Amino acid sequence: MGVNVMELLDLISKYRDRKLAEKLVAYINRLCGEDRFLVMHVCGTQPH
Amino acid sequence: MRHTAALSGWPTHEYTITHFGIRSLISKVDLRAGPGCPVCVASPVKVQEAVELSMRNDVIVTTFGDMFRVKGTRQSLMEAKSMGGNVVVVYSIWDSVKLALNNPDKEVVHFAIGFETTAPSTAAVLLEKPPSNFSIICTHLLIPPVMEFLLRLGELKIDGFICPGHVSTIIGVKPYRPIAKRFRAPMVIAGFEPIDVLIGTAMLIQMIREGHYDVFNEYARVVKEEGNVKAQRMMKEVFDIYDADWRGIGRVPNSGLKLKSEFEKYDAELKFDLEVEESYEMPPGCRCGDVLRGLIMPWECPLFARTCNPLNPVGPCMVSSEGACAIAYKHGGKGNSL
Repeated sequence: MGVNVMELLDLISKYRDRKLAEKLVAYINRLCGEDRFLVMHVCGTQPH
Repeated sequence: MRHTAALSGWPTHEYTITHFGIRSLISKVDLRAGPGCPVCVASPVKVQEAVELSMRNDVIVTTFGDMFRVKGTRQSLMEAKSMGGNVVVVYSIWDSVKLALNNPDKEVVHFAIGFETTAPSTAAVLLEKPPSNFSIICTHLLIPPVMEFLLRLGELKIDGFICPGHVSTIIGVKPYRPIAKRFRAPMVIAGFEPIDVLIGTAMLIQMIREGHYDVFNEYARVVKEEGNVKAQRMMKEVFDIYDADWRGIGRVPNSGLKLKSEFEKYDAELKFDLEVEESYEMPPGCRCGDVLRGLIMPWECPLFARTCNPLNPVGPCMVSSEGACAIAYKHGGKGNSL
C-alpha cells in the first residue's frame, strides 16, 4: 500500500472521499495483521 | 461505506462509527464507546433534586431536552411534569436566564449538565451576574479524570483512546498527555466525520505498534494545543473541582465541577432545603453501567431491543439520542454496515 498516514492528514478536506476511506481501511487492517486492539472512544457530547 | 448528508442528531464518534458501519470494516479493532454522553452519566441524585424542586409552586426547572426522560432516584423530569411539576425544556442556559427575568416572582433552576463543552457557557452566564431568582443544579463533569479512572480500574485492557473533538476544543491537547504516558495508552483527538475516525484509528494503531505513548491531534483544524484559553479562564473563575458521582461508574476523583464560594448564591442545592435519598440502583436487568465502562456492547444487554427501546427506555443509554444504546438501536449494531 505504501500509505503514509501523515500525508493522509493533508487530505483531511476530503471528508467523504470513498477512495481515501478504502485506503485507510486497508491500511488499518494491514497495520493490525492478526492482532486485535481495543480502542475506547469517549463521547463528550453537548446535551441538546 | 455509505455517505449521507442527512445527519440525524449530533455527529459523535459512536454515531459515526455505527451509522457508517466502521466496525464492520476494521474488524481487528474493537471500538468501544466509553463514558458519555453526559446525560447517560448524570447523577440520579441530582436529577431527583431537580424533580423535587419542580414540584414546588414557586419554582420553574429548566432542562435540555435529552435530560427530560432520564430517571432520578425515583422519577424523571418528564414524570414530574406529568404529575404537575413545572418543567420547561430549553435550548440554552440563556433561555433559562430569560425565563428568570420574565418571572421575577418565581425561582428558576437550570439543570446545568455537560462536560467541558457546556461548562464554559454556564460559567459565562454566572459571570454576567444573572438575576437573584436564577440558580443551577451543577452537574458538569470532566473527561480526562474519568479516562484515567477507567485505566486505573483496569477492568478492560484499553490499548488506546480516541478523544472527543468537542471537549478537546476547550481543554486542548495537554491534559491528556500525562495520562497517555503514565498508562502507556496512546490517544488521538479525532473529528467526527468518517474519515476523521478512520485517520484517527490508523494513527492510534500505528502509535500502539510503535510504543508511542503520546497524544496526536487529528482534529487540528479545530482543536488547538492550548485549547480555548478564554473558556478555560472562565471555568477556573467560577468552578472548583471535586470527586463526582457518575451514574453506572461510581465516584471518580477530581471529575466534577462545583461552584466556587463567591458563586454559591446561584447554587440551587444550597439555596433550597433539599432532601433526596442518595441510594440508587440501575433498573433490574439494565446493564448501562457496563456499557458506559466499555465492558459490553449495547446489544449484549439482555434488555436491548426487547423491553428497552427509545420509546420505552429502561436505562439512561437508551434515553438520550447520543446514548450508545439508542445509537445502536436506531442505526444498527453488531458491526453491521448499513
